[in-house]
Amino acid sequence: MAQRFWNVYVAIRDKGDLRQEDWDPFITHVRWELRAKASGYGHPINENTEEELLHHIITSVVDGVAKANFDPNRNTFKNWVDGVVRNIVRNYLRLRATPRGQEKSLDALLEIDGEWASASTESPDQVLLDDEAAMMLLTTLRRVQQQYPQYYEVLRLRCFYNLSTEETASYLNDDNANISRRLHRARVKLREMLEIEGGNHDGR
Amino acid sequence: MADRDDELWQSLRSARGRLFSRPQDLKDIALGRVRVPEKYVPEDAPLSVDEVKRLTFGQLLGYYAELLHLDIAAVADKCRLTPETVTEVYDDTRFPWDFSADNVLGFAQALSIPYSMVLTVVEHQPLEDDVLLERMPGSAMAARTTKNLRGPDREKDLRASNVAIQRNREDRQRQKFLRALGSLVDNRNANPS
Repeated sequence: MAQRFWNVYVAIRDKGDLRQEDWDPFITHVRWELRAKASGYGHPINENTEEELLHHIITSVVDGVAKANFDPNRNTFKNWVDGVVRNIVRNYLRLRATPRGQEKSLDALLEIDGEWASASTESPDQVLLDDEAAMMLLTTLRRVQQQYPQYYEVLRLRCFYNLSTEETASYLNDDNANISRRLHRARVKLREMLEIEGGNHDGR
Repeated sequence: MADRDDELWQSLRSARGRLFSRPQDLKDIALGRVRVPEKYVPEDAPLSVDEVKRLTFGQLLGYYAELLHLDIAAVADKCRLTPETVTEVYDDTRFPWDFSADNVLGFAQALSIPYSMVLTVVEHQPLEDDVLLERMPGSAMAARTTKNLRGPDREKDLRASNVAIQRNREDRQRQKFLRALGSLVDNRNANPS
C-alpha cells in the first residue's frame, strides 16, 4: 500500500504537478494535526494563528524536503510532517510564553519609521473583530485589491505574512522607500474607502 | 490620525486569517512559488513523557524507532511485520486494535516502549475522518446513499453520518482491545519473564 500523501511529497521534491485531489486531503490532515497538537498542549489556536502557523509548517516541510531531512526508508511522509507540525507548535508556544519571544515578535512588526508600532502589542487572541466589522473590512479590501493591486499586495504581505519592509521589498523586488510609499498609499486608500463604505452602511 | 491608523492596523491584524488568506497560498508555498521567512524554526528537542503520551500509535512507534536509529525495514524485522504494515501503522491507517494485544506488546518490547505508554496512547488514539471513511467496509458504504437525504448538504450529511458510524464501530473495538491489553499488561507486570 502506498504511503499517505506520497504524491504530495513527490510534487514538493520535484516542484512538479500538485493535483488538487492529492493536496486537499494533505492540507486537511495538517490542519487537523495542528489543531490536535495545539489543543493537546492546552492552547487551542484561533483562525489567524492557525493560518499563520500553517504557512510556517508548509515552509518548513518544503525546506526539510529540499535538505533531504525526510528519508522514505526511515519514516513515512505523513509521520515526518506530523513531527514538523509538533515542533512548530512547540516553538510557537515557547516563543509566546517567553518575554524574549514577545520581543522578537514585536521586532517583526515594527515599521522603519515606527508607524503602527504601538498597535503591535496586540496578540491574535486578544483582539477579535465582530462579524459585521470584519465583513465590511473584507468587502473594502476586495475593492482595494481590484482597484489598486500594487498597494494591496504590500498591505497583504506586511499584515498577513508579518514581513518587515525590507522583506517585503525583497519579495516584490522593489526598494524600501517605494514599499513604504506603497504601504502609506494603501492605508490612505483603505481608510477612504472604509469611510465611504461606512457612510453607505449607516445610510441604509 | 495615528490613533485611527493604530486602530485600523489592529483590525487588519486581528482578522488577518479571514481577510488575507487565499486557498492557493499554501499550495504556492509548497511548490516554492512563495517564500515565507522562517519564524518558528522547528526544534528537535526530545519529547517529555507528557508529550509522548499525546502521540498517535503510529507516531509513537516512529518516535521510538528513530531513537533506536531503526529504519522501516529494521522495525519490520524486529516486530515481525512486513514493511508495508509498518508503513500503515506509521500512517495511522492501521490501528492498534487491528492487531492482537499480544502483538502490540511485542512491538512495544521490540522498540523499548513502556507498556503504560502504549496503554495511554491506544486509549487516546485520535480517529481522523478521512481514515475512518477509508476503513469503512465497502459493503456498508455502498448500502448508504444520498437518496433518502434531502437538502443541498446531503453529500456532506452522508459523509458525516458515515464517519459517525465508523467512529462508533472503532470505539467499540478500542474498548474491547483496551480490556485485553490492560489485563495482559497486568499479567506481565505480575509475572515478568
